Amino acid sequence: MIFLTDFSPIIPDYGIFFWTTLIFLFVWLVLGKLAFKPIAKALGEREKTIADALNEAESIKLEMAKMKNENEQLLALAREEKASILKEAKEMKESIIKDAKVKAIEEAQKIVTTATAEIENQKKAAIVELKNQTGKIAVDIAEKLVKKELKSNADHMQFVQQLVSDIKMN
Amino acid sequence: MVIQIVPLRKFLREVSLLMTKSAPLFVLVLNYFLVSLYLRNIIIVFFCLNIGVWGVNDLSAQVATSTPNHTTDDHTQSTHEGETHADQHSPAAGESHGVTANKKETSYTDMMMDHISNANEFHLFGHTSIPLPCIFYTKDEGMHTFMSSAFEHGHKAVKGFVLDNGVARRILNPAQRSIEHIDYTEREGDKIYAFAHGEKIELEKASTLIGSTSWYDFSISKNVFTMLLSALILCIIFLYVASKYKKSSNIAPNGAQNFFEVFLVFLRDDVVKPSIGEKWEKFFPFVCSVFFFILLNNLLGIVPFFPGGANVTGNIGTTMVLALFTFIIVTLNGTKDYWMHILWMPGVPWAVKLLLTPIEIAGIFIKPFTLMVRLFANIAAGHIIILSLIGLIFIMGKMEPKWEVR
Repeated sequence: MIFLTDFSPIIPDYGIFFWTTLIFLFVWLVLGKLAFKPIAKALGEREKTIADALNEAESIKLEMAKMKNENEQLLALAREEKASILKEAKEMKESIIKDAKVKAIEEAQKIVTTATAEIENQKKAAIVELKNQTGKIAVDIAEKLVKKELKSNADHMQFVQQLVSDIKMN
Repeated sequence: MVIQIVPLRKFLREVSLLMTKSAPLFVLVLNYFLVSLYLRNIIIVFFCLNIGVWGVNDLSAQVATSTPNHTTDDHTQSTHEGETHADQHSPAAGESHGVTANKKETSYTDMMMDHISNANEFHLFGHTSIPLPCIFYTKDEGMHTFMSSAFEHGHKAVKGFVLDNGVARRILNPAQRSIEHIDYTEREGDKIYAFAHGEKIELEKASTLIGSTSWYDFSISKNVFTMLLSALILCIIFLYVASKYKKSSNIAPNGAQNFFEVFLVFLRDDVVKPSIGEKWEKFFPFVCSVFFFILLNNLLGIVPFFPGGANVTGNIGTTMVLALFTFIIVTLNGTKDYWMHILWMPGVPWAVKLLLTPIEIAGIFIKPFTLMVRLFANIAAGHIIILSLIGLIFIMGKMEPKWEVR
């Protein structure tokens, strides 16, 4: 065993003990603080970022699918609406045309009626006028005739008046 | 060696291609495969090259000169071993002191022990070493600081200190501390002597936590230097990687960031989270620091040339500190459940509880202790095994050839 006691690596000595403590403490404190801790942090952060990105992608994918679904629904709805709107428009067009036709006919009829009435009135007025004129003319003629033959008197005038009123236009 | 290297290069290219494409799990498996299988081969190849190129002369010189009357030129390994050392390796050697038949083996033992031991200088090759600062605290004279090059590889005594096989030791007798020149150092039993001008000077033991010495060694030794280097490398790598994370945390990683992310995510998801649970974030920096500190020191330890080569995690002092940190953190952060499972295990008959409680209490200390021993023993043993295999080459080479290789 004396051999072993002289075998220096097996006996710890002050120098090695002191310097190892110092150097290892230095490595631990300096590298631990400046290297291993930040590296562990950065690694964790990176992994978190990757995991987050993956999760986000997954959620975005889901959202996209949802949105696609929604879009399709919306599209279908829009299509339906379009159809209904078209239908409505068609109906409206038809009804408007119909209404317009009816109204036009009514208006035309109205115009025709008023025109007829007017014509009638005018006709009547014209007839009255004509009657009056005719009467007057007749009276004048008669007067002249009578003046010539008879002196004008009331009986004659009355008789003429009566005759005039008896004249009926058509 | 060539057979090993060619598919390796292909393999590495494939791996790097895969890395750039990064299927993390696959890369992790490949990494494990690469480290466990190929790195081992590289290490052995490198060691062979290393020893082959530089070591042959050294080792053969050691073997040739490992007699009691060796010359002083070879400072590195040529120490004479006492019978206790010899007994370790050949029980048949008996009590006789200095049996020449055992010299060769003990010289290899020395080589191994010097390789895995801490040292005050960084041995490169041959007689070339990088000097490291020595910081000695003596109880009587205070601090001594100087570069280990002042020792001149053990030929000079500086302020009463002598270098023995790269390890500084103090002269025991204060009266002899003024000596300057040292011829050589030698082990006798469990004692080490320095010889100067024929004078035998006893050296004190290395300062350890066990037993008391008149001085403490706080030098930037080989291990400390490697630890400082690995701390620096770790800082450069991870501050860079962290800056990339801060700059663009949500962008796909690339380059170094991608490479280390595999480790970090593995640590987080397969180590820290399953074993700690919810509060994992609090302990993640500690686990990462321990993991990468040990990993880098282990990797540096298996590089056979200069920046590596130190047996850092194969030194019990280092693993003891790491185990102590773990022990303190576990004990301070122990939840109610943790203590309940130790002191009064729920769901167990009371008779068993009486048995379990002392075992679990011992377990509080045994767990960090095993952490300490396992890492130390594995790494030290790994170094010893590689060195043994390589030593075997030279032992075989020294044997009488029965046949010739052409």
